[in-house]
Amino acid sequence: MGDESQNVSILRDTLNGLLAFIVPGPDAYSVAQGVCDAEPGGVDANIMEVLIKTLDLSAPFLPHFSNVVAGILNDLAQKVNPAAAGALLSPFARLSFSEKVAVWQIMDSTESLKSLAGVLPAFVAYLSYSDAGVFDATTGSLTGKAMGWAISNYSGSADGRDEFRGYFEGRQSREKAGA
Amino acid sequence: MRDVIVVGAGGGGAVIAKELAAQGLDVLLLEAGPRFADPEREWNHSDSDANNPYLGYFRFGPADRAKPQWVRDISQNALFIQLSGVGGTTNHYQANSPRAMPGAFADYAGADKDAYDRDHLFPFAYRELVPYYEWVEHTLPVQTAPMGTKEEVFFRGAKLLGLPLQTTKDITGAAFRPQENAILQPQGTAGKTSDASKLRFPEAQGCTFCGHCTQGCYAPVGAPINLKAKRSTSVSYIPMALTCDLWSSRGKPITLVADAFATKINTDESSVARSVTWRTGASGEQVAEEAKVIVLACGTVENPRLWLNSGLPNPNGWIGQGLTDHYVEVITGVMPFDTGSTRGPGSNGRIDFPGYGMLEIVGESPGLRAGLCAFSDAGVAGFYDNGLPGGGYGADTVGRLIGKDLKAAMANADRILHVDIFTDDDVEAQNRVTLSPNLPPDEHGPVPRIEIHQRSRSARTVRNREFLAQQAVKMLRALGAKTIHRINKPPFVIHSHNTMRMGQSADDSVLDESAETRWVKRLFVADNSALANGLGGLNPTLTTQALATRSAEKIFQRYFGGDPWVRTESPVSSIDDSVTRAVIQRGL
Repeated sequence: MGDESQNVSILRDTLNGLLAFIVPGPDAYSVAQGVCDAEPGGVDANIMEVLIKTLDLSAPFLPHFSNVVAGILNDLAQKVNPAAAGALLSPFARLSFSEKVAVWQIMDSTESLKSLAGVLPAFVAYLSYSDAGVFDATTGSLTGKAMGWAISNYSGSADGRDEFRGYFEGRQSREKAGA
Repeated sequence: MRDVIVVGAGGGGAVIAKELAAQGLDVLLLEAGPRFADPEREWNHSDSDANNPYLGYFRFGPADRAKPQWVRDISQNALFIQLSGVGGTTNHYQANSPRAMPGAFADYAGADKDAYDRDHLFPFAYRELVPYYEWVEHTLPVQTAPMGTKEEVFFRGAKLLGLPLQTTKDITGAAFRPQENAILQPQGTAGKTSDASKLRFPEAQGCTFCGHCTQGCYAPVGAPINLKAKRSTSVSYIPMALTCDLWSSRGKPITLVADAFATKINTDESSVARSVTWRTGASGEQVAEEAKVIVLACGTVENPRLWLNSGLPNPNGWIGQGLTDHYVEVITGVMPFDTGSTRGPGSNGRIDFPGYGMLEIVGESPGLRAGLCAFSDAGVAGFYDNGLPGGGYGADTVGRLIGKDLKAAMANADRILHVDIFTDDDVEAQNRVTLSPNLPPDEHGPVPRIEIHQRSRSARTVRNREFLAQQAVKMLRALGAKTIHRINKPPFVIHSHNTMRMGQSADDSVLDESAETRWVKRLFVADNSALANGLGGLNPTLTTQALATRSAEKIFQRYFGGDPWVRTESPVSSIDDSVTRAVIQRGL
């Protein structure tokens, strides 16, 4: 039981280190990596559960793929800086921002990890700037303003916008034939 | 026995099913994914609920979202974006509907003819396809797109590049233009308000400029299914196909079966297609039905998979080979003024560069865009480049945007201008779909493996993308961009084609010029996989639909003794009053 709970903690600690890496904010993980920001970031987007679920379902033939991902990041972190210290459980989360970049460079140059190196930042960025953290699947509605929408000054979803600017040179149709 | 079974109800399958049913044939249309019969209830504007490729309602997976997506083996840095369900990928497409570059066809004799993939041309003349373009353009319908703010900015940029306006549907030279889109033009309050209470049909008609094309269009709320703004086949061809008897004097409505994943095409000893076997997702039951003609329209990945899993012949090795994906690239400018990037249709403006490809102005909600900014093959911007060739041409960064660079770029989603690049890429055998040697079979048999050799593309393909990247950076700089980011993307496959290609030579193609397979008679292909090449880098759906219409005539003439109709009759538009009455009468 103790091991299971530590695994859960390391998983979340690692993914928080990842969220801070891709979208830093004022949180402890961003502070620990030495690159933080006054505006909220991925750690504050409330997307941990959907990130874990997304990772797990991205490879349904590998049970608990999120744990595999966390293991890869932590193994590489210990290669990049085995002496990284700090209060955080995850070796990856203890790295500086540039050391995390070094982890990514290894992944980008390792054939079996190239896919992960490519899609993982994309998914973290996508979820961070989407409404995933406030979307209620049971009602199909939002429970609040998404963090990613707030920091990108996005006005939010709507059934329509006052955005119609007419037709270019008034041309509402095009000639059928070419020259 | 059915007259025709069409496998796949996406952008192409729905078209050929409707055309043949309108001639009175008995057509069964199978779809592996969900039915999507009620978009207002089943879809919403959430970019996470819609577009997560593993959890979203737009994924390549079964109707039951509690079950995982269907697996593909993509053992490389790449994303292959497709979705299952009636309407297929047209449910999340941006509906850009240009005609192909004439240089992609056999008869082209322009001065720049050597600029195209001359080894893989369409086996007939461009002019041969024009009547079918016109038929589809009227049916959907395709209309000239209006502008939002981002298009106003984009066209200003195109003029700064010294480009003229393309005034015809046929491409005649390097030029910019409003898109020809399968999106109904705005009328009434549409495009003029964000007040939901004023955006119900019929007060609002056509595109409401909501900015959620990729989440599926159900605007205007309250409109009959065939009058939704974006003309996905789920709201255009499918409703027509289901009501053929009500608007066509000789039509017979199709039978549509969703949640039906085809697992085998059965042939006789003479290599003639005879029946289709499919698996019902909810029950696991295997069903087989016979037909006089079978049409494959399962997409560029599943068509070759189904062929290979059926044990059908592959004498020249071209089943699954020759995948083109337009070698997509993204250039993002951070502008000192409002661009309206999150507002309005996905893309209403384009620049065509014959022989090279095209640029599109693209907008969407912040989640999708941030994900694309962080998806690169060129390492972490500012740190390492992964050894990838490709110039910045004056861009401030090249590579994956993360950390503070990503936050700076995304600080105001309506002050960014995204230019997407679609390259005229060569048909190359190395880019292909096979059966996976790595992953175990799923409930539908051996799973497909997708290979795209990003680092060893042909010299012409690489040259074309670099030219387009240079043009995009130049335009953004001329418009006054504060910073410009070149992402240098890995394969981001939103256009895919040619894996069952038709061609001039039997040595490197699967289909003859009528889209019938060379080695199995009475078996046709009617989706993007049938295309001979990447169309010069243009959005493929309209050409696939025109080709499917042409193939419907070929089937009707060859196997049912009928006469062609496109040159002798007038098409009925999917928004015609007769169709509206029909869908209401049938309760669609």
